[in-house]
Amino acid sequence: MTTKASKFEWPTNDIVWAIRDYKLIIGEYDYQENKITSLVASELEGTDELQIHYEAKSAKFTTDINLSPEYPSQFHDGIMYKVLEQLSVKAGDANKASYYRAEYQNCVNMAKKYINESKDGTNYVITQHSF
Amino acid sequence: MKQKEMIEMIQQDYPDIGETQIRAMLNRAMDKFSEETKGLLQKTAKMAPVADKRRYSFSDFTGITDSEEVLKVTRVDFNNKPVKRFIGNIDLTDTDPS
Repeated sequence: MTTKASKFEWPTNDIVWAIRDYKLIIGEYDYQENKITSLVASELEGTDELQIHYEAKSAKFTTDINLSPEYPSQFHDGIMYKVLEQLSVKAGDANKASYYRAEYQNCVNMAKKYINESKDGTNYVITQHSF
Repeated sequence: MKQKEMIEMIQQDYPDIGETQIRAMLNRAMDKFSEETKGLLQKTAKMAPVADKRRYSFSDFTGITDSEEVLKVTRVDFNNKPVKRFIGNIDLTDTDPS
């Protein structure tokens, strides 16, 4: 009798994931052949669900000008500073370009600090190992 | 800050630049900002697994319209339980049949 994937012992090596060619591979690890194979129909149930947790880009702006970037609002200026820097370079205004570059970099630095801080004010982060 | 406000503020300094061009520049700036601040925006997305299929595009997941939106996958769950990441080499000829 086939064991349902949801009944595999957790955490398990039986179901594994990997990234290849910008795609998510998820399947059953075949110990005999040393490869990942697809889950078959008899191992799946209608309620089974895959969920990915990921670091994302903000959705691009469209012609709907009432949308905001998905980042926390304190970093929205940074995006505008980057555009102003590029326009200043095109206009040949090195001083302005330099000013906006510094402001943009300041926003990047603030964002990196924000990522590293938990909401209780401490600044530890647990990094998962990737091999 | 809404896109509208950003465009208006930029046009205060550069009134000759059109909305379409500014939007394209804002989108490129957002991509660059995302690359430099990986982890600032963290999301999750779900889908039902498909039998006899092991290769999924990120856009197969509900809520992801473009696979480029995903910068880095940090964790995968199956029925809310973590799945281990495969560490070995994947056979070069391993192409999904479906």
